[in-house]
Amino acid sequence: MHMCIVSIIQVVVIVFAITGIGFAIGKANKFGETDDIWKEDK
Amino acid sequence: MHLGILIGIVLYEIISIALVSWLITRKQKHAGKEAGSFAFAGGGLPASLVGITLALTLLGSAHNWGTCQNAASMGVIAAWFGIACAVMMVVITQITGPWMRRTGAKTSGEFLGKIFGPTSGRLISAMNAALIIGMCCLEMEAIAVTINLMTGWSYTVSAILGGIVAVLYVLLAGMKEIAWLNLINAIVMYLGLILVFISLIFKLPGGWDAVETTMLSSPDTAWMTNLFGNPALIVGFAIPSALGASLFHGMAQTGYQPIATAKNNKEVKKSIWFAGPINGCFCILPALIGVAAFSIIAYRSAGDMMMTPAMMADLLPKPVLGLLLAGFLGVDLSSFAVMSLAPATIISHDMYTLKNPKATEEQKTRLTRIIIVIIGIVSILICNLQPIVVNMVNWSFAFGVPVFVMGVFGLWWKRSAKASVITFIITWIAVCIWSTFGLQDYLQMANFHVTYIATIFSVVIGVITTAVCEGKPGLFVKKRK
Repeated sequence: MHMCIVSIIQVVVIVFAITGIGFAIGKANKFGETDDIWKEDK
Repeated sequence: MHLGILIGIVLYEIISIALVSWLITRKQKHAGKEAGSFAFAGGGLPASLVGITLALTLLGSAHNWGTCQNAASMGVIAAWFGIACAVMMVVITQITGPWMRRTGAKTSGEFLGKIFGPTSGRLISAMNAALIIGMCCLEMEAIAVTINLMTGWSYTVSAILGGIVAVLYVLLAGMKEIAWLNLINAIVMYLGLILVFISLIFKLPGGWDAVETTMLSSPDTAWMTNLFGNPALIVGFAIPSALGASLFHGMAQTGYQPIATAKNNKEVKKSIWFAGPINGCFCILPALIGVAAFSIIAYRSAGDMMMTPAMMADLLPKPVLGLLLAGFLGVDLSSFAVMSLAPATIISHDMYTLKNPKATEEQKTRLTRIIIVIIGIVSILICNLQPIVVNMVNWSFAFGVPVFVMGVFGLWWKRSAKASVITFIITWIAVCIWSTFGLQDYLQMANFHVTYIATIFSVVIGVITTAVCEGKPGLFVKKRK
């Protein structure tokens, strides 16, 4: 049971850490913040 | 045959599909059907549904039966495949998804066509369609294993039944139906997995402690109880899984399809809080259950793929087994549904419009439905000829790596159709030589994953060709200055 508990906790912590870091990266991605369709300069 | 389980699961699938279809049809009659609603859910889904759909779209055979199968050779380290997919969710929802939406593209082919022009766009569309159809066959294999476990019927009969249900699953209404069905299936699947885990505490001979004791008793298997137990597998499996999944789905139709259904980019970004944990945490339970099956000598003889189903059929109470199988079946069906919808949409929106540029939305929808039926038939015919599930999935991902690399170059540096075509073709040939034709085995470099080869070739060839070939500035470059 020790193996199961430790493994589950490790996975949950790693996954939420990745999610949190990812969300912070998303906040930094200002270009992807709006919904305006990008018009290419000709 | 577990007749009660079979009837229960079939009723569950039929009732859930029929009920959700009826509710959506009723709602659409009142609200008026929006153009493009079959494939793109009218483009109005909130973060919760986008995240759950994304998580479950990319959570299929490799996560459930594939991870159980992998656990037989790598123990709980098999759970790293789920963690790798959490990284992929970050790339899709925080980086490439919002970028792709801002170009106004409805498919990945249309997006890449805007970067590289029609030739490269169609080349990628064709590659994506072929690979995703291959993945549909993997999903069909998992569906057939589940039905085989439920019924005891032959694999072929199980695959035919699964194929019919899978095609019905996606045909009745399209993306919006799948989004709601995914929500139901996610709850059933997680409930089922948790109940299986708890049931095994009481049903495993000696409980989970006996599993751990057995595994720790030999140095050959002791490392399999530790998520970090084998550094070579972290390098040879976990990291390339994250790299390959992120770079393949980051700009592929499979990753973009759910993102295109979101209400806006804010909802896309918020969807990570659903997509990351739901997809990322999933694999640990199948990995542990796979380790339990591996620890019991009697089941090892069933082979890597079938030892876990064999243990479940023997040990689990029927209601728990039924709930788990309903969940697994639901997940594999929804993955099959969106995966079949992705190439069908590519063909109807990107390729059919070449022949018929004035095609109406109704014509495209009809063609999408016909292609889904064809994909279902092809999947049934060849689903029994697949290699190890996770290996096949990771091999497929390698083909998407140059597309991602050149896509980023094309957005933020320079766009050259010539450079992209050269990079794609050289990298795809390298992938085939290294993995498909066995150079990796010949050189005995098992841990030098094909994804690393694809990444090295893509970056090196991509940088050289983009620098040398003429091209327009990156799609997003000018206004940035």
